[in-house]
Amino acid sequence: MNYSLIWLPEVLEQAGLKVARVLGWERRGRADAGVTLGVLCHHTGGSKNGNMPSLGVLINGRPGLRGPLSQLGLGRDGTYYVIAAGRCNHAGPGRWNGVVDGNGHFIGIEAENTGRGDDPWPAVQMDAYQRGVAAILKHTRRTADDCAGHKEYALPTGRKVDPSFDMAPFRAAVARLIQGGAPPPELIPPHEPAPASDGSRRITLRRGTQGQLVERLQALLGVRVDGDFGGKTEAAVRMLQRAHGLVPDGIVGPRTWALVDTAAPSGVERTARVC
Amino acid sequence: MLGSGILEVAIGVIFIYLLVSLLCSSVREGIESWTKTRAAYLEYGIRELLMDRKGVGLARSLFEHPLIFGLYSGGYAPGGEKRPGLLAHGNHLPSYIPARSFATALLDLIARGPGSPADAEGAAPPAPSLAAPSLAAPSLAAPSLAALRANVLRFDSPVMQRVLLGAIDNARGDLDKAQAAIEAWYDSSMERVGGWYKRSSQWIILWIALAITVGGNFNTIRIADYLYHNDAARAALVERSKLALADPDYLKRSHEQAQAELRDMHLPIGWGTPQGGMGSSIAVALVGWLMTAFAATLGAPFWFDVLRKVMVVRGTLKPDDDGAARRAAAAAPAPVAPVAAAPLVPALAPRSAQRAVIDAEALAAALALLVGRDAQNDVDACSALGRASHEETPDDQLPVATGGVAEA
Repeated sequence: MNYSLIWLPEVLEQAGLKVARVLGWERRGRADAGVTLGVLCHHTGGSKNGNMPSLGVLINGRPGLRGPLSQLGLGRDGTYYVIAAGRCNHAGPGRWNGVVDGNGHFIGIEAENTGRGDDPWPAVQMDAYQRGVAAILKHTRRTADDCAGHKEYALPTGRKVDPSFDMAPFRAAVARLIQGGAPPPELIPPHEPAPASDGSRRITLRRGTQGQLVERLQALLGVRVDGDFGGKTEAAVRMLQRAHGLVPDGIVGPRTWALVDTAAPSGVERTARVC
Repeated sequence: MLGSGILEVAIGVIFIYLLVSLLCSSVREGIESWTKTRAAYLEYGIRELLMDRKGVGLARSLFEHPLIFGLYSGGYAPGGEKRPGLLAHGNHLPSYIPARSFATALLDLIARGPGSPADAEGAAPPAPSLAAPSLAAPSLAAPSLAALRANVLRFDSPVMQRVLLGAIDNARGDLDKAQAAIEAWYDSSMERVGGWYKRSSQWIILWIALAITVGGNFNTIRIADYLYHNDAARAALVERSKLALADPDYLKRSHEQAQAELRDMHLPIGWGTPQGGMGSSIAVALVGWLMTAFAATLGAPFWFDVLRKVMVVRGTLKPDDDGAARRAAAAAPAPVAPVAAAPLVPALAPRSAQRAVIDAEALAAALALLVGRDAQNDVDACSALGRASHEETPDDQLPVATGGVAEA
C-alpha cells in the first residue's frame, strides 16, 4: 500500500520545479508518516562530486542507521529526488514549535552540500529549496514558521550544524513565496530561439529523448552514439555544463547547445581537423 | 502527570546506576594498579606480534632494549605461552609502550642484526650494562635502509621477514616512512591487546558490581518503588542529577565523593535502614541486585549519557520548569521564541487533547532513547553521510527528472 505523502512530487511539479522519482518511492518509509506539521531542512554533508552523490545513502541508510533518511533529496541543480512517501529517519531528538517527534511529523529535505565553506550553495539550488519548502507548507496549510533547520530543532542544542545557511532569511523568502507574488521559476525554452544557417531549430533534449538529434549530440560529446539519451549521456552533459559554469542539469537547451558546439571535447577536435 | 512521574523515577534510578558505576570503576582501577594486568596483556601481545612465543628471541631483545628498558623497573621475565588470565600479574613491565619507542627500538635491533647475542635462541641475555641509555645514541644514528634490508633477510622467522621487508620496500629509501609503517603495524596490534584487556575488565567489573550491589544493598526495585511513592525524594534526586549534568568533571569523581553522595540521598540503600515494603522479599531483592549490578557494568559514561538524554526528554514534557527547554527557546531565533514556550496548538484539536498527544509522543521518545537507537525518534542522518563516501551515487545512476522545460 502506498504511504500518505504520495502528493509530494505533484505539488513540487506544480511549483515549476524539476522532480525525479526514485523507483519504489510510493511504498518506501519506516512506517506511514504522521500528519505533516512542518518541514525540516538539512544538508547532506556528502561528497563534492556530482549532482546528488548522497542519494544512495539517503535511500538505503548506512551501517547503524536504516534508510530512508529523508523524504526528499535536493540536487545541486535544483532537482528534487522523491525518495519516500512514508516516515524517514531524519530528525532525531529535538523540538520545534512544540513538535518533538520530528521523524513522524516533519518532511525532511536533504540538500546536497558538503556543509563546509568550500561548497557555496548554487543559486538554482537555493531557489528550488525555498520554492519547494513553500509549496509543501502551502499544500499542508502551514506557515513559514513551521519550517526549521535541523540545527534549530535538534536537542541538545548544538547537536547538529545543518543546514549551513542562516534560517531567518530563508524563512522570510519562504513566507514571501507562500503569499504569492513571486514569479514562477524560469523554464528552459523548448527549442533554440533563432534558426541556424540551414534553417533548422534544434529542440531541447533531455534524458529519455531519442532520435537523430541525440545521435548528433552524442557524437559531439564523444560518448557512445546510440540515439538514446540515457544516464551516461546525461552525466556527460552535466560534466560539460559544470566545467563551463552552466546549471549542471543534464538538459540540452539553447545555452547548452551553443556550449556543445564550441566546447565539447570531440567538437573542438573536429573543428581543428576541418581547419 | 503520568509521563513525568515515571520519567523522574527513571532519572533517579539512572543517577543511582551512575554513582554505583563510578564506585565499580574506581575499585577496578585499584585492583589494576595492584595486579597490572594490562602490562601482562601488552607483554603477551608483543610476543605474539614479534612471533616469539617463548620470549627468548626478538621480544626479549626488545624489552631489554634501552628505549623500552627505561619504561619499567626490574628485569624482563616472559609470561606464560597462553593468553594471560583475568587477574594475571604484570610484574613490573610497562602498561603502555609508545608506538614511536617500539618502532625505533625494533629498527635499532634490526640494524644491529640478528647476530647480536640475544637473538639466537637460547643464547645468554645481554649484560645489564649494555642497556644503559648512553649506549643507545650511536646505534640509533640513521642506519641505511639497504643495510636494514640485508639484516632482515638473516632473521629466521619468515612472517617477520615479510612484515619488515614490506615496510622497508614501501618506504622507497625513506627511513621515516619505514618507521611510520612499523608504528602503524604496532598500533593495529595494540588495538587487539586493548580489546582483550577490555573484555577481561568487563568480567572483573561484573564481579565487583555484584559485590558492591549486595554489600551496599543497592536494590533497583526497592529504590524505584521508594521514589515512586516519595515525591520529595524524587524531586531532590532530579535536582542532584541536574547539578551532576552541569558539572563537566563529574565523571572524574573519586570513590569517596561518590560514596558520600549516595549516603547523603537518604534512600533505602545499605543494610542499616529498616527493611520493608516492596522489594523486601529475598527473590525480589535478588532481581533488584542483579539489575543494579548488570547496569553498573555498562559504565559511568554510558549512564551519564543516558541521564542527559532522559533529562532532555523530560524538558520536552515540562517545558515551563526545565532549563533544557528554556535554553532551546533562547537558542531559537527571536520571532520563534514565544511560540517555542507554548505547546503546539493546531486549530482542529482542543488544547488539552493536543497536550496529551504530545505527552504520549514524548514518552514514546523517552522509551526509544532508553531502548536503543533505531527505535523511532533518536535517529537522524546528516553531517554523517559524508563518511559513507564509498557509496556515492554517480550522476549516471540518478533517476530521470521531469519539469524545468517549457511546453513546446
